[in-house]
Formats: sequence, C-alpha cells, structure tokens
Amino acid sequence: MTNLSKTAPAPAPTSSRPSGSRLLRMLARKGTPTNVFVAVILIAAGIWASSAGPFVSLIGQSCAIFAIAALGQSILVGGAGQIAFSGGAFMALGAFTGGLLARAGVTNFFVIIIASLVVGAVVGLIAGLPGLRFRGLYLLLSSIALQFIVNSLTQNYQNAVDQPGFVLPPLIIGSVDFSSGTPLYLLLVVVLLLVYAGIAAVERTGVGLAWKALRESEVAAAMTGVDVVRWKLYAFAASGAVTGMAGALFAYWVGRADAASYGLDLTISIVTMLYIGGIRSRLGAILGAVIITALPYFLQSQVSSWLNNAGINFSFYLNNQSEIDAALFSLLFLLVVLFEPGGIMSLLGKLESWLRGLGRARSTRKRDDA
Amino acid sequence: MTLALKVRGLDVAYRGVPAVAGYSVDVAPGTLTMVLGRNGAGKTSALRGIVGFLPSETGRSSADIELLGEKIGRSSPLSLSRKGLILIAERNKVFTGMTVSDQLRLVAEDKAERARVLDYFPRLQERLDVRAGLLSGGERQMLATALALLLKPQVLLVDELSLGLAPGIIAELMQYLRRLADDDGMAILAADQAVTESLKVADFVQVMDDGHVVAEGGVADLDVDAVLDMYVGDEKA
Amino acid sequence: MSVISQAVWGALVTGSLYGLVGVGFVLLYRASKVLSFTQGGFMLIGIYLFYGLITAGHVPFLLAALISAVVVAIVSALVYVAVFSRVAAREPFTTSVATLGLAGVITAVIAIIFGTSPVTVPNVAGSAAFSLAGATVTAADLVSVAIMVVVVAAIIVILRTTPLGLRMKAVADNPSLSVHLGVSASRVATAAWAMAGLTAALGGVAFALRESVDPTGVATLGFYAFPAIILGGLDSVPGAIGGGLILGVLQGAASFLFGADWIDLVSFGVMLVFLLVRPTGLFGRAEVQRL
Repeated sequence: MTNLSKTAPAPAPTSSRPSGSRLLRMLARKGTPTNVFVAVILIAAGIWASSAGPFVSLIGQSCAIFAIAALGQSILVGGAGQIAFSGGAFMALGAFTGGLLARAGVTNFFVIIIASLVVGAVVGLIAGLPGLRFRGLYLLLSSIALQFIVNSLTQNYQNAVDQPGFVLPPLIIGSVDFSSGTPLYLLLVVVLLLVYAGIAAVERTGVGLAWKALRESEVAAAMTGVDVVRWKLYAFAASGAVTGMAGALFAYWVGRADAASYGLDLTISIVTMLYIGGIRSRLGAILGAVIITALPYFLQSQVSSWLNNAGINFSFYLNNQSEIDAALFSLLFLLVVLFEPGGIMSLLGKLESWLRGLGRARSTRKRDDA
Repeated sequence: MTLALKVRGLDVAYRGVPAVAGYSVDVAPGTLTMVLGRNGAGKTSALRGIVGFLPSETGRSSADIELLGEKIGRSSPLSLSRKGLILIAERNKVFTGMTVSDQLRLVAEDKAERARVLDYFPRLQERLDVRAGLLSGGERQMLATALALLLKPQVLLVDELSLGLAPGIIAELMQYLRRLADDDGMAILAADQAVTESLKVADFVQVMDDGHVVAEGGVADLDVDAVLDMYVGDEKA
Repeated sequence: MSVISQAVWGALVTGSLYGLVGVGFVLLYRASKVLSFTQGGFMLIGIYLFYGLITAGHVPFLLAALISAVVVAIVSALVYVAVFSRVAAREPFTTSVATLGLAGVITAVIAIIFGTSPVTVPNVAGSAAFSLAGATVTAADLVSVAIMVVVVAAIIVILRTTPLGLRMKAVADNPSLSVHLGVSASRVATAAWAMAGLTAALGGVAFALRESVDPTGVATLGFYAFPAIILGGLDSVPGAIGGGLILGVLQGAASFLFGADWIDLVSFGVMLVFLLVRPTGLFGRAEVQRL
C-alpha cells in the first residue's frame, strides 16, 4: 500500500512476522512507538484506578477532568500555535453556566454540558477575534487580562447573588447515579476519550491540516491559500468549548461553582500540565494533567509512608505541603520550559530515536557479518 | 606579509539548508577585494558566515579563519568586532530609532574621533539630530560606514554597499573604499552587484554562484568580461 | 471635598508604585524583549528582606531599604546570568513564560520560610501626618512617593546621559546591529535585570510601608503592573510612570464609584481595550511589531 507519511518508515525490527505487515509499518513510523507506549501506560493506569478503591477513584476523577481541560487548552496550541493564559477563565465560564442553569431549575446533565460547550465556544470565538492580530506576548497579555476580567465578574456576581457559590444538581443521568465513586470516574473517562477521539478525528480532516499549516508558519499558510482567519477562529472556539465543558465537569465534581477556584493559579497549573507533558502533543496534555494532579496525593500518602518506614522525618513536608508542592511544580515548570519544552513526550521521543539508532547499528552489523 | 584576513573552507547553512560551501579568501592589508555574483549567489551569507551568527538567528557557519595572524575559534560578531573585524551589513545597518549623533556617540565616546570621521561625510554633519530612520538611502549608508570606521577596523567587510543607491553616490562610496585601503591600509572585502563600479576600484575579484566561488583573480589578470558574461549575464550596471 | 482629595492622593501614591514596578518591566523588555513575571517574586524578596532587617536587625529603615534594593538587584542580575541569559537571546517569548515558573518558586519558598499570614511592617517612617488640600498625608505616603521619584529620576538620568543608557537604547532599537558594533547585548541585559530588581524591591518596600503584605497579595500586585505598562507603552520608561499614575487614578475612581470589588475588572478591562485599540500605549513608539 502507498505510504503517505512524510518520513519513510524505518526498517521493521527483526521479528517473526512477515515484513509486509501493515500494522508493523504503522507502528514503526517515527513517534508512534512513543505514543503507543504512553497511551498504554495511561490506559493501564486508568483501568487500575477504576477498581483500586474510593481514594484512587477520586484522584482519577480529578485527573480526568483536568486532562479534559488540558486537552482543551492544547487545541489552541495545536490549532493556532499560540499559548493563552485563560484556561481558568474558560473553566469558570463553563462552571457558572452550569451553576446559573441549575439555579434556574435545569437538572439535566446533557443540557448543562451542551450549554457549557456553547458558552465556551462563543466566548472563545469572541476572544479569538482580537487573537487574530495577536501573537506571542500580546496574546499572552490579552489572555491574562481576560482571565482577570472573567474572574472578577464571576466573583462579583457570586458575592451579590449566592455567596458560597452556585450549587450544581447531583449528576444523575436517567435513573443512574453518576455523582460519585466508580460510576463518576467511568463517566469522566468516557468524556475524556470522546474528546480525545474527537480531536484526533478533526486533526485528520482538512481543519486539522490547516491547523498544522498554521502551526508551522502562518505566513506560509496564508500564501498557500489557507484561510488563516477562519481556522484560527475555529481553534479558539473549539478550545473554549472543551475547556468550558471541563469547568462544568469540575463544578459537578466539587458540587458547586465557586469563582475562587478558577483564578490565575488554575490557569498556570494547566499551562504547567501542557509543558510538562509536552506542549506539542495531545497525549502529552493528558500525561501532564495526570502527573500534576496525581503527584501531590502520591507524595503525601505513598512517599510519606515510605519515608516513615525508612525512619526519615516527613513532618516538614506535611506541614508545608501545599507550598512545597507549589515550589516543586514551579521549579519543574521552569526547567521544562527552558530546557525541554517538548516535555516528557519529547524526552521519550529522543529515547525512541536513540533506541532506533542502536537497532539500526545492530542490524547493519548483522548484515555485514552475514 | 601577514594577511589581514584568511578564510578557508567556510560553510554556511540556514536550518540545515546549505547556502555557502567551501568559501575561501585571502585579504591583504591595504587591498580591496570585491565579491560579485547574482542575487542568491551566497555573497551575503559568506560575509555573515565570516563574522558568525547570533544565537537568535537561524544561520550556522564553520570555517578556519585567521584574523591578523590569529586563529579564530568559534567566531562571534561581538568578539570579532573587538578584534578589529567589522561588518557593514546589507540591511539593518543603522539604528533607525536613534539620532545620528546618538549613534556615533554610542560607538565612539571620543569627540575628536567623531569629528574626524564626520569630516568625510559632510552630509551627515547637517543631519546630526535626525533619527536615522528618516535618512535617505545614501545617508544611511554613510552613517553605517561612519559607525564602522569609528570602531577602527583593520578588516572591513561591506555587504551590498550600492543597494538602492543612485549611480553617482555609488561611485563616490566606492572611491571612498579605495581611499580607505590606500591611505589607511585597511583590508576590505566587499560584496556587491554594481559590477562596473566595483571593478574600477578593486584589486582582486571573486565571482560567486550557487554558494561557491567560481572564478577569482587580480583585476588586472582576470578575463573579467568572459567570466561576467557566464555568471552575471548582462547585469553590468 | 476632603474625601475626593484623599482619594486622589491615594490614587497618586498607589499609581506611583505601579509606575515604579512598571519601569522595571519596561527596562527588561527593552533590553531583552522579555516580559518578566519574576518582578513579583523580586518584590517579595525585597519586602521580606526589608522586614527582617528592620525587625530583627534594627536597621534604620532607609538603610534597610537600600540594602534590600541592592541585594535584590544583585540576585536579579545573577538570575539572568545563570538561568535566562542563554535562552532569552534565542526565544524571548519562551523565557517570558519561564519567568512564571521562577516567580512561583520564589513565592512558594518565601511562604515556606515566613508563612502565608500577612506581615505588617512597623511604622518606621514615623507617625507624622499632615493635611494637604484636605487629604491626610502620612509620612509613609511621602516616603513611598519620594522613593519612586528619586529612583525613576535616577534611572532616567542614567538612560539619557550615560554610555550604559545609550547602549540600552541601542539594544532596544536593534539587538543584532548592537552586537555587530561591539555592544555586548548580554551585558546590557544584565544591567537591565539588576535595575529591574532594584525597582521591584523598592516598589515592594514602598508598598509595605503603607499596607500589610502577604506572599499572594504581593504576587497579585506584580500583575497590576501589566495594565500600567500597556497603558503607558511597553517600551517607554516615562510611559510606565504615566501609565501607573493613570491606572492609580482609574482604580481610585472605580473604587469610589463602584466599590473595591470592581478594581480588577476596570484595570484589566482598560488593559484589554488598549491592547485591542492602541497596543503601543499612550507613550510608546508607534512601530511596535506584532510579536
């Protein structure tokens, strides 16, 4: 079959399968082994989390929600090659859409979710209009401004109307209660998978190709007739929609929409997730979200018991846990952004290339010997 | 006699795409070497490659370079400028937002020095308080030359001096380069497309095409017409 | 009348603080095209160092302020040289994002060492207060404004008259040409980072003299500098002062008319409007590129 990939596939590793195997050729394409590896690990972790007890399930739920948020933000990176600092704001919009609808008597999960998607898309579109002219630093600044504005508006509205925050209805679909435990976890994972599959599918269509062209070079894209404006706007809208939905889901998870949760801190966390996983990769976004979300719990419960068993005093960490976590993550963020913005996915990719190099050297030697 | 500048095997590439391969040149003090060739022949890249690229640029170069008898390792524009090698670039040759006098002050703090150099460029003396962005093309070229001279170069690289200038000014500036070589003993390597004017003042000529030097020699010895017909076409300006 | 003049005076004092911090941002941006979120972190270091010197070291407050400023200036320069110098030259945008990480580390470390509860600097400026056109002006207010005026004046003098200032102008105008003409862009940037650290520390000290501070609050203060410099123009030092003062007045008016809860909205709303309509700010040079 005709191989349409840009880079010619590396020779298949020595195995007993016939070398014409299509699957093998697909797997051997550069980068795929890394993606498959990470996907397998995520899936395995996901499956484990579904039956490892309520605490793990809770963490898993949180990971899934932030993975959706990170995916949402990464659409913008992938679609317009731009990094925006307004993730928290869009989550707030989705959450408050849910909260306000709930206040107006709506209890249907799907209605709330779809509303959050729509609100996110519309605001994303509006934010995208000036975003057409802005790149780089100016987009950074205008997205920060948006973040503060939305934060302020929601907080003020909340203070005026319902101080502790807008309660969301319990998450019940039909007659099944999804509001906690394994059912909630599975629901969130399904949504995550749908979002991921949706993005993957879109990236294979014309829209995805246009986004790729935009990422590489807007100028070149415009010159080859890519309607830069339209595709960029789609990217902003899609990003807003998915991130908004993540916000609604977060509000469901917490039980209420509280403006205080959606500040600049949240935005920075999401950006950290993107960079640590790998700014250019969808799987990286999920990976980053899982790491950032799960690590504090892991440090607190697992590592403390290990250290206790080893006789090391861990109370300093426990007393200052949130600050130490913040310091560690900020440091990690700093190092990643400066030295390896491709994040973990990029590091794994380099490992893969190195292994390939070894494999080629060995097969060349074999051929020489034969 | 020590060569002022000796370049061997200069390779220049932008993001892996080669622009110059195996460029070499000897420039003696007090001589003027002109590098000729079409657009895209690699003249600018060769000159940029000699002084080195900044980390923020996409170009990368490697070569064996000896400046005033001293081997230069990894060349960087900053260190080379301090050692007496100055490039007057094709574009980007003046600070458009600063006044003429501010720029001159930037480069040379000594008032007497500035006055001495300004004597060569009476037109600039009338424009001291004008922002360089508002100067005419010829005036900008003069300012760029003045800035370079204030750094007291022993080797001067000049890129496309004549670009966008009227023939009269080109001749004037070319004559000026000649005088710098003759009177001040400067070693000058200049790339240009104004062939006729260049030949009037050069001691040596190199013709570049597609990143390589395809012909070179003393102006007196070279069958210049034949070479030019082949590689430059009828661009004899 | 006195309520209004009090509000105006308050706006001017706050505005001058924003201006001072904003000047640091502008210096950094001009020298290296980096927008440094670390300024907030440096403000924190300055404040806590000042606080420590005054309370534990019993150092007279002006000297303490000076020491803080110098220490933070050195720290800032070292941070640039050790961490950001290589990357900043290649990719200013990525470096700007990275400064967020450093700011986070500094804020968290300070919170670990000093705790997160607010800290009140004792009334070291003296308790004198007098009346000016109906407004009560405290000694702390005066010291704050004086610090701002002195520091900014000094910086403007440096920029306009010294060789360093000329080099900073050149690097801001054309970094690659500067290097080709023998100006070390990295040395200029180091000086800019040092000056920015100094303004951040003094801005923090001036703020701490009048209000109690806590790590998160100071970090947010750092963010208020953004509307100020966008208003004024990212590449203009006098613009930062003007922008800061205007922002102070806007915030005062918003607080007066709508209540303190609306300050954020007004500040960042104005910033967004300017970004859309006049990205070069009121005083910036009109040829800012689309970054």
